Amino acid sequence: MRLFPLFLVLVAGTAAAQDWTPSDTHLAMHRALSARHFDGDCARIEALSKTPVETLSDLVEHAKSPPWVPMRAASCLVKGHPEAIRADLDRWVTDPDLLGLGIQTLAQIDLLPEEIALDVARRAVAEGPVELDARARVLKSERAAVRAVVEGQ
Amino acid sequence: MKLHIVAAIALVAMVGCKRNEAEKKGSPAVIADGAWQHTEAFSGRTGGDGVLEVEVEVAPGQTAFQVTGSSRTEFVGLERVIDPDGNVALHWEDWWNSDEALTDAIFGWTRTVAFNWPVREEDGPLTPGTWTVELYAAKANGDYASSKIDGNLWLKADADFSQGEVPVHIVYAKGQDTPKITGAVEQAVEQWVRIWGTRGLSLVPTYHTSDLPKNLGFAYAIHGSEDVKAYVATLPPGELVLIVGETVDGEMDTYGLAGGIPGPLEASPFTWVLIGWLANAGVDGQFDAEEIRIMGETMAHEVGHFSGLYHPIDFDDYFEEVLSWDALADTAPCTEWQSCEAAMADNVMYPYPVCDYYGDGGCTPANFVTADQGGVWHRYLGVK
Repeated sequence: MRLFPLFLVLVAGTAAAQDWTPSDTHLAMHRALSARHFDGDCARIEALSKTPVETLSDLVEHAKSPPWVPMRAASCLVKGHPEAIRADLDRWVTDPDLLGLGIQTLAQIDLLPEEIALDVARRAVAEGPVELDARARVLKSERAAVRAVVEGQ
Repeated sequence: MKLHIVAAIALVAMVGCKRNEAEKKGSPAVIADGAWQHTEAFSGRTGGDGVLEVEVEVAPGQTAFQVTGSSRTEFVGLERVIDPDGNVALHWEDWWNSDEALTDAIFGWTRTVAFNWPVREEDGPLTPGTWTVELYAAKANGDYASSKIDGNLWLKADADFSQGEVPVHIVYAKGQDTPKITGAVEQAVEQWVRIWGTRGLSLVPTYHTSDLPKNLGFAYAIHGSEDVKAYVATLPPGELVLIVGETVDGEMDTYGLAGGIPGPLEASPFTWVLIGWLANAGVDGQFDAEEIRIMGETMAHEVGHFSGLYHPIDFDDYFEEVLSWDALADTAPCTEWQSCEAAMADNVMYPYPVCDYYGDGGCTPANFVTADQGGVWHRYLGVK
């Protein structure tokens, strides 16, 4: 009986993925983010969509290949829209199935507004998966206040 | 750097400008008696026109050469190549504004330049005799400059441009030699071996650990990395180096990068191809079979650049306009992304992997190498 709820979750997740249909905007942004040599110009990427936060978030959630597409989409969200993705940031640094996003987020922690950076650092240190090695990554922040999340413990 | 054009026109008109010739440093330093690869050092100062002439003595049986040059203060690039009969085999002006790309050496992006000749079958075979390679030094604003240039001449005797051996050093940055990463990298290298093997190139990988920074933070430093130069100097000379870090320059925007097209063989701040494993592993930070395959294609692609290849086509940021093609005859001369994908999605040097949107259907394997592309690799000095 314990497997039953998990089964339901898996079915629901699969159905959600299949129900989602990419638009031409998603396809154009996916192609642009697929480039083997990307200059990191998120503004150029975001100009492809009238709702860049939603489109980028969709790519983080649904695009799988090549693997750098969802990573670059997440990177653009961190750089340009941290307020809009606060809940996602918490999830990325605590969910063991999102280890790659967690490592990336902590590598970019100094790009976040300080208040958000502090929240992310606290969540990562307290709840992050072991493999994330959050304490060591937070200690590499250039901000004393962020490093203090670890040093003060 | 387009100021080079203006500067060149002005300088050519100068009367009495002097070109200096490089002096060879002592007797040639042969790597090993009877070796396939031979190198000797040179040094000189650019003349009034900003150019240094480097003579390359090509003996019968020698089939390709690479000239490298470095300045401590100025940018260094390739001006012209003159064959033993006095004919201009390559002039920077012919390629500067071309919509085809042959070598980055003409652009003088950094203080180190590498130039490999011949690039293509149609550029050769290499005629025995005295070749002259003209290197220029330029300031950041594009003006020619007087500067001391130190460099090396590399020559190889490779009678067969259809079979070759490629020694390559896989170097893990500090702390990146965990079982998860090494397992994925070694499987990816197997994929790379298969791809290059389709054109008769046998990779011989050896694995190393290092104290190089895991964020490979030197990747976009305009003058490269002296730490890498020092590390590469500890390896056998004249062999390829691929460095595996967590990220490339601490960013997720780059999962692989080459130190030049072509890259220098000798230990230099740009003797590297870089791979960031994290961007290749994706959001979960773990490798599945397709991600390993794509990482192997990435290795083949990036080392492909280092060994002289360009993308068969490059688009603008919005895939609406073609910016350039490679200079090879057997890659498709397509003009828009739909037809280019149809023709070349499986080409190892295609500018992006062509993937099913959801990823459920995966990406088209990018493992095809055309005969002309393989020919460029065979002529690179790092290929035995």
